[in-house]
Amino acid sequence: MFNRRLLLAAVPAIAYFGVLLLRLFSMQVAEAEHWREEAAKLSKRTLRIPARRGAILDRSGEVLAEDRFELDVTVRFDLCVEEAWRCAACRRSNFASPGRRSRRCPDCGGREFRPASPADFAGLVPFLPAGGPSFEGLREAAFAEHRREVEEEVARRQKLYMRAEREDVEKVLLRRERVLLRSASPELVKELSLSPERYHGLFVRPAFRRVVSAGEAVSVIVGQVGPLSEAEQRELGSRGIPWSEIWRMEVGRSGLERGLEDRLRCREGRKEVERDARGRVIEVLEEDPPRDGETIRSSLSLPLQRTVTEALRAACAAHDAEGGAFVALDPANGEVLALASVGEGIHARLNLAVLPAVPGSTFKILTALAGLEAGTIDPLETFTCAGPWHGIGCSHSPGTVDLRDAISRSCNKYFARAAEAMGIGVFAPFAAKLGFGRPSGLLLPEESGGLVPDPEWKRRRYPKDPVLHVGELRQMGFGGGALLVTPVQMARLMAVVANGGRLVPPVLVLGEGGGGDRVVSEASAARVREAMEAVVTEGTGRRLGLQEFRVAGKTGTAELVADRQDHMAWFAGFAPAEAPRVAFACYLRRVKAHGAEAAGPVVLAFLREFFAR
Amino acid sequence: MNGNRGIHWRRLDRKILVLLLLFTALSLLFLHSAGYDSSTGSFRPFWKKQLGWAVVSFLMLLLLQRVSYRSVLDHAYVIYGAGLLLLVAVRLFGTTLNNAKRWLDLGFMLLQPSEFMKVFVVLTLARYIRWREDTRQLRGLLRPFLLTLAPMALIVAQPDLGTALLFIPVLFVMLFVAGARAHHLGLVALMGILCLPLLYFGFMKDYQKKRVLVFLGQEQMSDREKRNEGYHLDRSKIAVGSGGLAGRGLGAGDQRVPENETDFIFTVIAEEWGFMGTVVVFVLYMALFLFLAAIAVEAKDSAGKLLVAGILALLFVQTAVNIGMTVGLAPITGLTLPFLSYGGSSLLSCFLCVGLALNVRLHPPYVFKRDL
Ligand SMILES: [Zn+2]
Ligand SMILES: [Zn+2]
Repeated sequence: MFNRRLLLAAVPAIAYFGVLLLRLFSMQVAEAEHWREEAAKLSKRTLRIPARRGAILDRSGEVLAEDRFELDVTVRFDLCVEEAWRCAACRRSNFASPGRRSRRCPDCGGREFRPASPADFAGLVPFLPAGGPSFEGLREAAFAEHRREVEEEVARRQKLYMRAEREDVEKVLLRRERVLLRSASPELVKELSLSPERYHGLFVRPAFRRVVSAGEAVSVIVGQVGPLSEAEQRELGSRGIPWSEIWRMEVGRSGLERGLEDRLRCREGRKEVERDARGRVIEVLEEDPPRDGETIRSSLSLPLQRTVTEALRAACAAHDAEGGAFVALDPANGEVLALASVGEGIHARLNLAVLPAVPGSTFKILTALAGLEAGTIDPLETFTCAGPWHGIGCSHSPGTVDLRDAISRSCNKYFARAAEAMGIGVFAPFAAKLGFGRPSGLLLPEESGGLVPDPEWKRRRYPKDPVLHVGELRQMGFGGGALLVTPVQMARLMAVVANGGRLVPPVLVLGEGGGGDRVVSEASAARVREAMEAVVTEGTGRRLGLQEFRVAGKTGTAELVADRQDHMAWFAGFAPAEAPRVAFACYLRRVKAHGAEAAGPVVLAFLREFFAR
Repeated sequence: MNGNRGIHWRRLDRKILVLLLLFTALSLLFLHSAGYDSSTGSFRPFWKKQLGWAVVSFLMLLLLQRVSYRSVLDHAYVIYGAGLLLLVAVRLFGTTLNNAKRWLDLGFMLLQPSEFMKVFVVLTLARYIRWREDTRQLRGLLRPFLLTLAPMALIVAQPDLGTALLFIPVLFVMLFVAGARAHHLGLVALMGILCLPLLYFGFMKDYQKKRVLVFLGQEQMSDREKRNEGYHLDRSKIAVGSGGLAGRGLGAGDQRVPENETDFIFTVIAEEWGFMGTVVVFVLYMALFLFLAAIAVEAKDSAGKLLVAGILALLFVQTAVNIGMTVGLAPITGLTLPFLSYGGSSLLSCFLCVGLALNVRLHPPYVFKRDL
């Protein structure tokens, strides 16, 4: 009963399988030619829709860097094939003789060919950019890209153990559009669109290109975009992002472009379309709209940025410095108003404002704050400074100094003693608390953390001499030793004094600043502020001409150990002294002259521009 | 291995295990091909995941042999209830992909309960029918019918019409081999057809209704719709047909039919290995079905026979409809190709099917309650 019924049920099943196999036989064996032709006719293609990367603006909305809309001329080599590029069969047949413009090649799947020689495109030549490569040169470059992609595709297929016939791969890739000419002139675009039949195989396509509109005043801080590295490409490839997109992808490589990459990034859109034999779109099958990046308003002020860059350049030239940097921030919320770096040679491409330098006497402000907070400095206690002490000398006239005088006259011995009195166990953690020795989190990938030596560092760095000696601590007390700080960190220290003791996080994006945490008592900040006012009115900074803006500040001159002829010239401070609106730090590298005078004009130029508005 | 409570491992059908290995090898080979898209250059390593699933499925299949299918059948109603609960869970907090709510997100995989429900229904029907005589009466057909209808309704609502409709031939084959009279089955079929309007108004989505109307000649498709509907089939036919006799070579296919790693994996084989590949696939399936049928014929109890018959029907219909749809001989329904399509749930449920059949051979009953 059961077995008979099972057999009965099997009859229609076997019959259906038979029919199915017959059908497959007829399709795959008898009609194979027909289906091959159908396959050749079918041309589903993917069109790219460019997306716009977010722009970077200054605080008032002026453009620093943006994606500019341009029109490119592209070429599809399968539509305008020249003798040398044709397949062997095409070359043999005479279908491409000049009189016969349009014929089918029996070997290339019946696509319509139209021979194109440079003569055909002669009409374009007057519109090509003067002084640029010739039409042949452009075409060769585009074809080189095709050849490169063929090699890559073949290699990729071989790596995946897939059949890779060069001829097949070439046929497919010949259909890709290649950029022939970037940012075509309006005249050229007009010529192409007015008589498309004359320029069969050439297309005008929209594209976005990154431009740093604000020029060199912001180029270092804005940074650059560029193609992905090979490792990054592989990474994205393994995440399933199409290679055709990865190859063209450009990401921020440095500066804000890199730091804000996640927000600026755009993703190009795609449109899958089906085309008829003439290449016209007959159906949109799938659409993935482009996603533009976020436009970001930075806290930088372009006019200030320009002024400062110019002043720095002039100062470098005047003092034969190899470079310099200037940072200004709002002491209330940490927003960076200007961040400039200029330099010669290799320093031209570096952002010196976030790279470490020897701080010199400007660091005495930190020692003063640390001593006041720890109670090891009595601001009214006096110290008689005369003659060298443990090899430390002063450049001010001998006499009795209290904290105020020690800052305004920049007494080295006072602060060497102060550092020794508090010990490294107080000094190093306090410096770390005020943000030294680590990056400030500015979103600039180049940013360095600087260095505050502590016993742990000494042990790791100098295993043969693993103890941090008191002599080194004395040096650090007045900004020497192995100390390294960045101008951003120094400007932030100035902001702590200016705002009454809060450590604000420096930010480059408008509106993202914050009040920061209290790190120093208001009383200590007030004491140091008073002394810093005296620096400009009667102390080491009195000759800088900053009195008119009621600046409070601190000069600094660091001698480079290797070369006693060169100096780091620092000036850091804030203004106006009684109600500070801006804190800043400025330094010039390898100044031939001695003293902070070199930095004066830069600060002056900045303050003029700042208070003029 | 005599320690395993008297299981005679020599009775394990090695031919079928070898077939499963061949299927797995074929699947991995063409999933590797299907993962590469030459128009974008991107490669998706389907085969790696599938290899993992194949290993898991094999282990589950072997593990299943340790308990007799009769103890499994004893728990069939519990399993069936659990399956229904899973389907309800899909309804409540399922994951939606491509407008269909078919999956439960387990974190490491998307579980598709309907794939397993197919097996559970076969189990339940075998359990219900095994000692009954009343399948020869019309009244006796009602409960099996209801048992099948409940999960079907839940699956249609996902919506997954293809999988849901798969239950009907399975039910009919099982009732038929159990001895139901042909005219009774015909009557049930008629009742089913009369129920269709309920299905239509109760569960179907607009696009499904549209398909039905078009099928009935009540409505015309717009050009655009026709193109979209026909597009998939056209691409599939072109891929299959352009394979020719010998195929374009492994990995050299460039007709990328959408979903060619899951429902349309056959197009990749047909394009890259041509008619030769088609024959290989057919030979493998024919051999498998033949071996399964042999197990059904040799089975000593009605439950075993019914179980294997149901499994046979399930696997056969799925294979026939899947291959048929790539060449336009069956509607495009979204059924996977057993053992070859990409997907953990599908692969595991197919392996469980075969595992149950192997189990019937491995655990012959010692006492014959009833001879058929
Ligand atoms: Zn040719
Ligand atoms: Zn002194």
